[in-house]
Amino acid sequence: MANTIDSARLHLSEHQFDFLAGSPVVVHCHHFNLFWDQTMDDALGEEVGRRIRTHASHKASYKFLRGLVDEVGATSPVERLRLAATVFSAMGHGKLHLAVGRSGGLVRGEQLHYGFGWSEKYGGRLSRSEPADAFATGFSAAATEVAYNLDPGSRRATEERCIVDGSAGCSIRVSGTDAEPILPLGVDPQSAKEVLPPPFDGLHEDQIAPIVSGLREFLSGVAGDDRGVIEAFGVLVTAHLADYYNHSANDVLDIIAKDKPAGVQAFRALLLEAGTACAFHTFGGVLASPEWEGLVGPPTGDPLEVVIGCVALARALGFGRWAIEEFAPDERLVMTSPGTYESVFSRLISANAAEGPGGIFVGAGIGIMQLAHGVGWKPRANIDSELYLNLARNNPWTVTQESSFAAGDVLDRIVVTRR
Amino acid sequence: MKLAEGFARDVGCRADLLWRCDLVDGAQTPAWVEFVATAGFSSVPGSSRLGVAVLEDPSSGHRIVAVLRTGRLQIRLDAMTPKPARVQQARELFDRLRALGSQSERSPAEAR
Repeated sequence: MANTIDSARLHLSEHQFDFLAGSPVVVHCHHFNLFWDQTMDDALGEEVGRRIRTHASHKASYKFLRGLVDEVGATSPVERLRLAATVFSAMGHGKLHLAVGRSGGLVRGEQLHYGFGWSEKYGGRLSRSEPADAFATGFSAAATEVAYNLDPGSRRATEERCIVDGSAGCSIRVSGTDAEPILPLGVDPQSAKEVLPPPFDGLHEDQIAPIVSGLREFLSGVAGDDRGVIEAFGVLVTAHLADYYNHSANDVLDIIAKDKPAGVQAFRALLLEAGTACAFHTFGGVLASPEWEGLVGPPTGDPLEVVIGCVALARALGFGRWAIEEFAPDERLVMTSPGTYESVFSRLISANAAEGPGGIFVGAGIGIMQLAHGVGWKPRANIDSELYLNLARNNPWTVTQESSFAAGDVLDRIVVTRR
Repeated sequence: MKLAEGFARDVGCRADLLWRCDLVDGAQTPAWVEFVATAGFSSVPGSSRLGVAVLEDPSSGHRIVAVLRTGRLQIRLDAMTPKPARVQQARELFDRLRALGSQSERSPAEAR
């Protein structure tokens, strides 16, 4: 089955995008994934946030699973449900036992990435009553629909138990619904190729390329273990549907723009913060990991080395072909990309692309400068929440997006300078 | 192939799962990995692509990531290890690795 799934992979090397069964896939760790979901909830509250996230997963997962069963030729409901559970685990999201018939049923989850990741990160320090596994929930609804050739949106799913509140396990109820059909839109390789401009080189490509190559070779062999867990670089890792992040951010943005337009800027600031957190925790965590030390060597603390490492990581993780246009240590960073996994979605899918979120690329600019200048890398860096908060409180950097691919410009370009 | 005295939570440690120790002489890491692999730890295939070796204790699922070029070792406790047991299990594994390191210094006759 794993070989079958592997055959559905596609890598657009010139733009550093990865597709699985026609859906874009990116690698993110549990720190970022939890932060992202929290960002959606911060904007609209836990209840609406969870509904939006579940809906985003439902749309992204339906498109993905529909493509997957078609690509590998899975025809019976049993085959399709088995395939859905296998790919869910292989991508590091935990284990799903999909005991569902045409009308629905109960799905049992083990080590579900969000609930398990939350318990590992915050359990014992914080309490939580809201279930954490919106992605698994939407995925379960979509898996049922695809297995039985049902219309997208004809099934709904609710997480009834989640380990974050002390329950022994997670369970998700799938049932019929008369709600509006969903539109499982998303980016596909062909439309991405058509809309993206030719790639271009930035500075230090000779140093970036071999790191990307080494990381990609490693990541190509990484898959969930028999519990559906991927541990790499000292974090819990997922290969995730980029459309999940993009649908959730766009749907939140749509609601805010319609109901509280004055809040749009505030939400964009939250997304920018998510990008900064991604760079700090994901890039910083990898740079400090034994795997990085083995591939590249221990970080010396040279700011340029940090910037090069972060750009290489973004490419290897499927974020797009980020490039360094200009870097002056302690002063200025200019990064470009012919498009990112967010801006391509906004350009192709969003109703209002000019307002597309685009937070990761922009916010990461600040995170990268913080890693390059605010972290003591020797003798060893301490990439933790305490340092993150300290750097955020005393952040000397500001970022401007000077070109937006989502809004119709020829590329994404950000400029980070001192305040 | 001795381990240094230092043993502490590693960078990025979440909930006591990641621990750091080091070989005294980093140049001996490949030989140390080979030795430990004969002492009940299994080698996780594919890991050396990044210049690290990963060894697993089959009985617990705990792993040791060894950076081949520097001698940095990271103990990664299995993610399902109950939280109250983590510190002790990490310490026990470190002690076991230290004992193995000392054992590797002795001649075959002494080791017998």
